[in-house]
Amino acid sequence: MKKLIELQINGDTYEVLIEPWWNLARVLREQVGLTGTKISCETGDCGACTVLIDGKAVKSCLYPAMRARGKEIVTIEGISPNRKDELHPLQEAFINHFAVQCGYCTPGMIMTAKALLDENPKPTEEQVKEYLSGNLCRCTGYVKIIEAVMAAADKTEAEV
Amino acid sequence: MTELTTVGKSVIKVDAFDKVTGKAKYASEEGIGVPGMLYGKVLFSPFAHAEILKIDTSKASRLRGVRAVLTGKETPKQRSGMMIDDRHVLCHERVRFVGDAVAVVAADSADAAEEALELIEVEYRELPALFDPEEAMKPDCPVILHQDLQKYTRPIYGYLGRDLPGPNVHTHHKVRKGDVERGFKEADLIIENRFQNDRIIHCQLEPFNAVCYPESDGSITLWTSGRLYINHGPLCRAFGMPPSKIRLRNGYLGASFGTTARPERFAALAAMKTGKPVKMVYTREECFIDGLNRLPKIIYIKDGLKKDGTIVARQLKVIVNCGAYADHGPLTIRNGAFHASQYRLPNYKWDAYGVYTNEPCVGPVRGFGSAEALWATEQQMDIDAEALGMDAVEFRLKNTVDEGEIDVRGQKVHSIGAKECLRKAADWIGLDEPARPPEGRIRFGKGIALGNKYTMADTASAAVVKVHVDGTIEVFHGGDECGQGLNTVLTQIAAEDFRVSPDKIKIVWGDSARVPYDFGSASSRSTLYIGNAVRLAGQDAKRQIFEIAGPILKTAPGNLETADGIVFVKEFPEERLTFSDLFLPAAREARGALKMAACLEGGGEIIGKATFWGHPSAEDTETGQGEKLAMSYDYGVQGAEVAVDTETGMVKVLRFCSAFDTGRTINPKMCEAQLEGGAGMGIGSALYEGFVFSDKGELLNPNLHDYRICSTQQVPSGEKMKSMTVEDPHQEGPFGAKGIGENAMCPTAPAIANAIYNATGARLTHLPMTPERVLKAIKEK
Amino acid sequence: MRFEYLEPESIDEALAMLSRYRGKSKIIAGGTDLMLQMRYKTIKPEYVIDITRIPGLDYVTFDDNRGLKIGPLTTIRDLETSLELREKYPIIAQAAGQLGSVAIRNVATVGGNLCNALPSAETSQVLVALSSEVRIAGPGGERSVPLEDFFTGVGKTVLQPDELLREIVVPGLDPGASGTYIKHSPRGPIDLAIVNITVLVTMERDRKTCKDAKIVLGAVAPTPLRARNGEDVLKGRKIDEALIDQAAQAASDEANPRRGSIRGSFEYKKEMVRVLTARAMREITTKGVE
Repeated sequence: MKKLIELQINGDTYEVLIEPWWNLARVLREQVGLTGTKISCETGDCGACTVLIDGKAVKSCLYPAMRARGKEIVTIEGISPNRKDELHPLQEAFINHFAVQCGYCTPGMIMTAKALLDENPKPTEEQVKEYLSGNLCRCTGYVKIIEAVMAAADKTEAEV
Repeated sequence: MTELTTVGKSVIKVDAFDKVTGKAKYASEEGIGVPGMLYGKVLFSPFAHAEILKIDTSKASRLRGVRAVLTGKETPKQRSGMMIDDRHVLCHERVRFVGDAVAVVAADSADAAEEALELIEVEYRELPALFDPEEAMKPDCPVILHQDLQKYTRPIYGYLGRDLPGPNVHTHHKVRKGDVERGFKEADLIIENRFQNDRIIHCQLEPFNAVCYPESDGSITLWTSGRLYINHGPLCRAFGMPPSKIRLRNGYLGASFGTTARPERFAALAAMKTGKPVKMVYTREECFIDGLNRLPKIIYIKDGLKKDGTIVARQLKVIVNCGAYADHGPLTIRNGAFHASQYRLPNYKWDAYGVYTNEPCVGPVRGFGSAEALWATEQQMDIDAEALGMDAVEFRLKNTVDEGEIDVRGQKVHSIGAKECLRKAADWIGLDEPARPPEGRIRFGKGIALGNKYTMADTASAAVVKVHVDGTIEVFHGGDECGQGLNTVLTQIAAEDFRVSPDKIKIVWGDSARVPYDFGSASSRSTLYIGNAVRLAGQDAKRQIFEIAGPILKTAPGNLETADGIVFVKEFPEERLTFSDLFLPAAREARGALKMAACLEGGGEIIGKATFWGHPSAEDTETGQGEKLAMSYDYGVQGAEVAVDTETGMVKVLRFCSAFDTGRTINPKMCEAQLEGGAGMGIGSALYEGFVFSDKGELLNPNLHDYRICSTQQVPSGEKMKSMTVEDPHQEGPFGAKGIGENAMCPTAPAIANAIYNATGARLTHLPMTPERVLKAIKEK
Repeated sequence: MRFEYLEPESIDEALAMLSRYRGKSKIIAGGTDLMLQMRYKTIKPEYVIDITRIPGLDYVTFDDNRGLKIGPLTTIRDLETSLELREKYPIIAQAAGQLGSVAIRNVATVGGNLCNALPSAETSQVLVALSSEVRIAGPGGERSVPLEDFFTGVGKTVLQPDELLREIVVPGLDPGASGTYIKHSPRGPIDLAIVNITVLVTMERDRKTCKDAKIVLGAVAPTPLRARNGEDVLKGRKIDEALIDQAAQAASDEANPRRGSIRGSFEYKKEMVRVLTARAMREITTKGVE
């Protein structure tokens, strides 16, 4: 029996009809229409589905949509407005450092990196690698991703 | 020569913005929220080899929401395949591997489709199964997987079906040069070894998915997460439909690495039967079970060496476990022979066999035959060098072919920066420096390997370039943007040729109804072939521009040039027109509504079109010789420094470098990115990845926790990862450029194996080099 | 997988639901194990009881006897980052930090990790080494069980279908105690362990003689395995290289991994127990000597 629930996503309220067994990743993509969050393994291994829930990185493919009621959800669509010149420093850094190839891991990777920088604004390279170890990428070998995160950290720090 | 303004620069990728904001559209996004969409699931065989006695779909059909349950009898009677027509769309009377497709369900929700699968009742009669290719290839093998093999038609490369030594062998490829027996007699030293590699898979992040819309005229529009034209032909053949009846579409691919479409045919089947749109998304587990694997090879290699350090003879016997259906097997087997072209091999014999077994099918995975062969041959080179008392780099330098030589396939060598790559990589990794002293049980070592990847000569690319009245230049191509940056490269090339800024270029791709034919993004060919086609089409467009502008500027078209959307006389650049001046609104008689007519006065539009194809020679079917079988080769050396824990067998790659010959680097940062990505995938293939089967042929690790691709922690970064390029321009490449995408992971595994040997004295011949295998090799050495 | 999603707001409500739907219900906390098992259909509950909205179950408190109480909904991330835990019970924080990746640790709970009862579970192992007890709440009230006796098989515990894990109680730690957790896996924390071990050694004041030892092995038996023979080798003896090797061999001999595991062969797992127990001992005794 489908349930009508309210979700707070990127500062907006959404009303969606869901089955109680659906995970948050599916609901974001198919009910809310925010398809930036990707599904790749649905076993919590690859991190392509990573969103922020109450500020923490969470693998939304293993998170029941029912539990997400009342929480603050932020997706890749929520960290940048629509205008080209207002990207989040991480998004800019990923572009400028060629950290994007096929792009399927990118939203999840950026959300995890954002959670890292929110917790630890000046991470070492080792800390970046450790924090991102749950986000798999098949294309980049991670080299430029790590570079981009370090650069975004420098930039954010410089601005503060 | 004018200095290049865009080509050679690290232009920002044209798709990066969409990808970092989540706006980029992949096939995964297609069909979401479309009313009336049905959702499809496939029932896969649980047995490796069995007869299908009975299928009862009645319970499944009665489940609420289920609109169709289809089995083999609803599929075409004819078999089809890539190179051998040996497979039905859904199994008819037999299943041949765990993962063979038995039934398709379409329902109005994904949940209902999944539930319906469990209600399909299939009665099987198990048959004895074959998993060992060396057993399966025997002439007296009691189990025969394809009784009708001799009757199967072969659409292309049919000559590979001759001289088959057993009823389960479907492919035999040969290369012969000189006389190996005489060569071995001349040799001072004979070195024989056996190498083996397990199955790995692309493991691209976007799971296989497809959406099929049936159109009212009986045609279908089919969205694929895979490549466009590479899948178009096989789908048409599978259903016996002409190309005009299947409109294939794709968007950005969540990577390819050589994947072949699987859910597409099932979505198409269900859509055509129900008359409704069908979306089919594979789970990650289904991607593993039904995807094509990299060829698992058993390689017997024998080298004859002279004391002066030359290889006088080499012989390879390659046995490929091709799985239940041939699919891409024959071509991948044949193309694996190209790996040998980097060394001087005066006497050479290669026999490669494709064998049917009850394991999953094989096909192109980054490296397409060469990577698996190099696993064996690049370790053999180190073994040879040591036996001769020679340095590993010196031995390779001595035997690497040079520009202008005739190689082992009979083709003239051209554009080979291999030697410079050897020196650069060996230097950076510090191969000559003394090894780091052991730390407790950890031993350190360095190794290198030289790899190459061919680009096939028997392919073609067509391109169209359309110049718009507002100065936009639209480039239509039939290749695939799988993250390698093809659209960016083509933007750069077109921008360079028209001398405009990259933002004036618009790329159109991913729709067989709109873009011209292309073999597709495979064989590391996109930059070379599609780049050339775009250049030629651009020239055609410019010719049209100059022919219109000439009379207006009162000069011969040959005196004109274009830049920044302006056409001008070369010698008197103030004599000029803009592109819009060439169109009808600029004509004297254009009045009223004609001021908005975005067409030419005559000829319609400025549309340049061109084909670039490889003009291949024939391949001698007995000797594998041909003057032009490969369009180009790109060469690269990788070096690794490893730490081996001699008590646990764990290997860590500490430092890694690549030095690759790109011919001409169109976008330096993108090339670096390919090399780093290749390292990541290569390290995975070397140390962590491999399919594990039960003794009944079930895949035991079809998921991302037990099939281990590299995470951030397995790949060196920052100062410890170095990517270098050299340029030895290719005369046929656009601006001299060649490919790089596949070779980026071709030398990786043998480089790491050589490093492990140098660290421990243990030689690993079975890929992947898991901790258990490494520990065993250390204990047994 | 189809189920009804229930959200009790108190333990009593949760227990009532477990009773009403006895045998047809499953508790979900972090969900990182359960969501996967339901997708794979290894369990098919008709009712999923989400206890994360019950207040007051997420805590790490230290009592006067230097003991420790942990609430079942405490996340693995909180265990990893708690400064007090790192100071007073470092092996708990150490092991917690090797469970998967940050995003998993943010939602996975210690209660879930224990109740999922995998033989290689991070928190199971270190908490057994620390001689922990668990308090179980049920329709008849509460009972306590030593954690070592809590696990009965792979994925199996003594919990009845109408009971839930209420609290983990860890006794005070001897000041001479020092331990370490080692996870052996190809890619590090994100992988399931091939083998993992916890060694907790309490030294006498002379810092050379072993007063007590706990060696717990994971992924080499259906439950976390106390290598008692290995422990007995060490107890009351002066620690030296030869003794370490002897204890490690004894632990290895006790390990009884399942044959045919895709993560490691029988021989390899036993060998790794030997190697890693010895390494853990060396690491601890070097620390202790300082």
